[in-house]
Amino acid sequence: MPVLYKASFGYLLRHPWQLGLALLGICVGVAVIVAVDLANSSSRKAFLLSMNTINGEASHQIVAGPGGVDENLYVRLRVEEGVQDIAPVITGYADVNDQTLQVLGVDLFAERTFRAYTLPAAGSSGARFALHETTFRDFLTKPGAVLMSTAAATSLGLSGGDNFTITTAGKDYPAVLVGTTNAHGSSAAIGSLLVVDIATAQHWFNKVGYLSHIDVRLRADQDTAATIRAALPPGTQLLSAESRTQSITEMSAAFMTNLTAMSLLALLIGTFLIYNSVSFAVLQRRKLIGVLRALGLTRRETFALIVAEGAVLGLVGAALGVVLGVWLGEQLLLLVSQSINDLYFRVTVTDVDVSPWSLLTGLVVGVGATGLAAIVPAIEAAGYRPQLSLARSVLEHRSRRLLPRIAVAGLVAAAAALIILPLSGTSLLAGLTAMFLLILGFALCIPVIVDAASRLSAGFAGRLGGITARLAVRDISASLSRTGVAIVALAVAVSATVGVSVMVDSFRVAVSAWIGNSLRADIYVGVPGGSLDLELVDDIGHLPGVAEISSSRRIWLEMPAGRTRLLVIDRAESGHGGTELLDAEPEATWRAFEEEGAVVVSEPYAYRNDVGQGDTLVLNTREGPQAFNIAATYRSYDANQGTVLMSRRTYQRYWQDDAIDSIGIYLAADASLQTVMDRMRELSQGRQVLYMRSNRDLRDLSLQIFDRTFVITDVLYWLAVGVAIIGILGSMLALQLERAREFAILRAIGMTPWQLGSMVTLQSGLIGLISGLAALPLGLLMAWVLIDVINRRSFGWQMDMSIAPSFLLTALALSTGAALVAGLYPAYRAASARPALAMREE
Amino acid sequence: MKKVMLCVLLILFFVFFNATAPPPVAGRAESPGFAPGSPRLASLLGAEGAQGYRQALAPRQFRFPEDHGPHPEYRNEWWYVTGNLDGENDERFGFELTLFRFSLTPEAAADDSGWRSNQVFIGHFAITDLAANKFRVASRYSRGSMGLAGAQSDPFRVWLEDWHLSGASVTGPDGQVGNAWHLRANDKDIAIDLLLRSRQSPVLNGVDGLSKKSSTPGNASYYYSIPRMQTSGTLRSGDKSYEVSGLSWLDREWGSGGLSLDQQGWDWFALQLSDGSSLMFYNLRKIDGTRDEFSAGTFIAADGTVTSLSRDDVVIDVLDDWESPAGGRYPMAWRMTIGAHNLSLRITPIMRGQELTTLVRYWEGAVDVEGEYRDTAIRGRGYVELTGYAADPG
Repeated sequence: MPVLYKASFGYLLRHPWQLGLALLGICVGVAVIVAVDLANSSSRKAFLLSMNTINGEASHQIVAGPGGVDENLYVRLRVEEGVQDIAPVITGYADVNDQTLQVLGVDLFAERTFRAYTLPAAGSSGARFALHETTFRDFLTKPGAVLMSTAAATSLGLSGGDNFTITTAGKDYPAVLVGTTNAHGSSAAIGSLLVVDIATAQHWFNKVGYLSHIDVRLRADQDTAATIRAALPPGTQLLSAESRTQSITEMSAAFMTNLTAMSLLALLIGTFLIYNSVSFAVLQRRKLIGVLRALGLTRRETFALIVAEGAVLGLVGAALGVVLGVWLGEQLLLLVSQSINDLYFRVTVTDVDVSPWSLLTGLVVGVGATGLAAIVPAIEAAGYRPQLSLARSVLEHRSRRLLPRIAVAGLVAAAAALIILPLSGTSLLAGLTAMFLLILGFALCIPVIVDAASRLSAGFAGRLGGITARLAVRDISASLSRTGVAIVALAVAVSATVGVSVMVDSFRVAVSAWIGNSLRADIYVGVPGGSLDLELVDDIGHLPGVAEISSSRRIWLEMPAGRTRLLVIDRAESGHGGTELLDAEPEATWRAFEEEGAVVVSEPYAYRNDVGQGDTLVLNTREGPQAFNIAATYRSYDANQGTVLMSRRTYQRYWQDDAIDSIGIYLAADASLQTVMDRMRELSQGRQVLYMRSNRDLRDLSLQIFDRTFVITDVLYWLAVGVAIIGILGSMLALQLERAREFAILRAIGMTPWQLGSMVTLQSGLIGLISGLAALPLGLLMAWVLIDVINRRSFGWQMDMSIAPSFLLTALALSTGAALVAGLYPAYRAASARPALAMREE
Repeated sequence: MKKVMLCVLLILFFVFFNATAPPPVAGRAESPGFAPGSPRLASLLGAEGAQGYRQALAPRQFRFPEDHGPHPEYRNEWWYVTGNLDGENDERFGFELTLFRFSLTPEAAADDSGWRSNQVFIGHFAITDLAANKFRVASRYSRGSMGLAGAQSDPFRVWLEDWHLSGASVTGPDGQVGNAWHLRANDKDIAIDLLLRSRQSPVLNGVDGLSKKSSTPGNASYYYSIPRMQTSGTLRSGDKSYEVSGLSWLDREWGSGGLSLDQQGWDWFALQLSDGSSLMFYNLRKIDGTRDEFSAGTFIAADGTVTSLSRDDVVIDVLDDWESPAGGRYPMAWRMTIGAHNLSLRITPIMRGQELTTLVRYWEGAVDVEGEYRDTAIRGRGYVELTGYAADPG
């Protein structure tokens, strides 16, 4: 049937605008999916790779509380218990020339079972060997000796033998580069790694006497595990390395799922457009198809022809989308990894990891969506009666008859969503499914509403704006089979902007209020990636102008079941009230907190673990597992994995750790902020470089990080809007093409080009306005689902919806404006067409 | 003499060709893994390498038991025990347990971390199980700090993780305390737990215990042996344990020097003969195939009389050889003739494949001896070490 296909594609090629826009719709939809997937998976993969580099062949790890594992445990295991295949490790972060690098402290003698470092292969064997001998000797015997990858050395501008300065927890230490390694395999992961001897690492990270963890490689025999477990002091545990890594990556899982959902929204809108384009292509050829049917083309063949057309469009569009997606992924990667760094864990991603799997998924989803979108028009085309060149009115009539059915389907989908929501508990996936069903359901109802609206308002419009307006309005309803889908697509895209903006804004209002309430000290002081010098803290407390000091320490407690974030605080009198309790009376709560060893849990923690006031939770203390009473739940937006708040007194009793990560300084009434900060700077000179932030700076910074997190959300919904605008432009163009003869008649009976142009423009604007109006309720519905279902299920946060009227007006303006802009060119073409020529076309 | 070079190479190979190396490249075994005389040996074992360490230049006054303990002011040192053991049902075993100490720098850097150390300990442990026809090897490495590995003289103890050699308070029936040592080592398939006793005083090799390896001053070591230690205890090989007894040989050596550039390797013999006499001889081989003039040994007669042997006192004929499956051809049976003592011995390994293929490849195994001493038939057992015959494993 090559002739048929020639006819089919010949048509498309003669209408390059339409072809191009259809392809663009598919392309952008697929690109967004591919890009988000690539950015997500690259971030995750980079993190796993760096964990794998650090963990090496370790199958398990021995971990303990905040201070780390007692180094003597390691010696005891080796010397007394005869355990082999264990290695001491200290990890941390250090700054070199303004770059933050991960430091791995190891005992080379224990390393051979765990990690492989490769040394340079260049040069003569003699020179190479001399280097090795001294490298090895210096590494073990010189304090501050560092091994790093050639890439890291180059980026730091260092070469072998160079002395440099390294900064950890605000303190400077001398370091010397004793050798460079050529990482094989995962160059990116090892690229930012500094390897040092365990003695150097203990010194740098103030961990003398302790290890971050002990790597363990358990082989098939279970005896070793039993031997190790029997030797572990209370509070020290043997955990699987894989589950430790997994519990870290899980923190960001909800964030990534949300990004994926956003990208699916873009595809959903893209699918509407594909449907739009293919339907047009069918509609415009109804005559040709009728003739072909009369010539013997069967229903099945007609169907196959249209679906094949859609599939080819889909394939080309999706292929282009995949290419665009890889590029877009690189742009998104920075945003995604930035957010992960701000919110969850440190990850350095330099390159998009283009996995064939992501590309294939994009391609399949693109082609699949196009195929699906082509099926409806294909069924329609197959239903054309032979030879009858269908009048549009017949079609319109038919599709109008369909409208109520579509609307009923929509209502069913929405009802299903409303049933899923209360039944699905805390499942994020179910929440997202329900949201998509709601969007789809509402979208399917839009055409009925538009139909009714345009009919009802036609008379009114006529009285207001004369025949042009009346025609424009009435025609929206009359050509609903073509305009309907564009309206739906635009409405969904705009509703996404409303939903997301309202959600983000509600969130921002809540976070801002929370920050304002909880940040009460005048100055906050800390050090990056470490603890404060306790003597320095004491000295600061005695500075003139300092009235009171609060302190905090943040640690992760590990249990076989996962990690718990513990925030240890020493509350200042002036800071009382900074923590908003949700389910208990403050006075009794804080008494139990300070005096009875009770803890207070954050709202996400309570939600996630289904606990609350009156319950108990078990934490792994230095003496082993210990139950703590939960005195209350408090409002917090700081960490979606949840936080347990504990008093310093309770913490010291169970962990014997007096480290302080940051302090809050309350000034005396007459003290000047600047003077006290200057005094502190003077005091810390030569002892520890402090990070000091005034209350206002810290508030601003917190909100900045918040905003940064949602940049990617903005980017995604603007992409969705972009897809929708392409759709409107496409439909208006197609409509104009199709109605060229009709317009010519209007011109012939006396309508001026200006009137005709106005009519088309007015129609576009009306379509935009109607879409916008339809988008408002859908957007608010989405905002509600996002806030109360998606956000809660993803992060456990709860907040009130706050609707700024400006968002709604912006949405209306956006939708109308977009449609107007998209309608300009079709209007110009309609107005400038020569009526005689258009009429002769028949 | 033996292990100076071995010790250095062990460290280098351990760190850079095994522990941290990329996967072995096929066919690598054929390339010369280490060629004596290469710049690396020069830099490591030359005079500059020994700078800052104390040198073995002149004979010293040995004091026991203090000298059983460590001498960290010297660069290299080892405790080397080999022995032939019999089980209760005449099972035949050989064992080797060596603990090397190596200083990376003359002085340890000051540090607040207990891990910082300039001392490295390396251990080699091998069991030859004749009945099972198995030769099993294990090795250990550690820094000499944190109690992971170390050496001390009072009470005497050298240990590397859970392997150790320590002074044991064993009192004989007559109330006299002899040189008693407790030796313990284990790995997955092998273990020993032995008590070694000797009434003999340590035998000083070379000139009053100063053993010169070449004409360069400082290329020498302090070297003593306890050749016949009555040994008893338990031995595990595979999944079986045995009560064992036999004779062990202890070699102790420390110094800061190394080999000459023209030396290829050595053949070391430590033999315990049935009449109560013992013989140690190391044959240094030069790259050109000739015997180095610094080859030397010691003959200890049954009555304790010690005679030094020089290269020309001892004639060695190779009777057989063996091709290692990993490459390299080792001599595998010898005729050793010492005319001055009217001694002629035929030395045969009890098993051929006693090659240590870990890290540096060398052959070290139990041997049987038979021959004539002053025209009387004599038998014996011993250990032989052969180095420089095979390329090291990649």
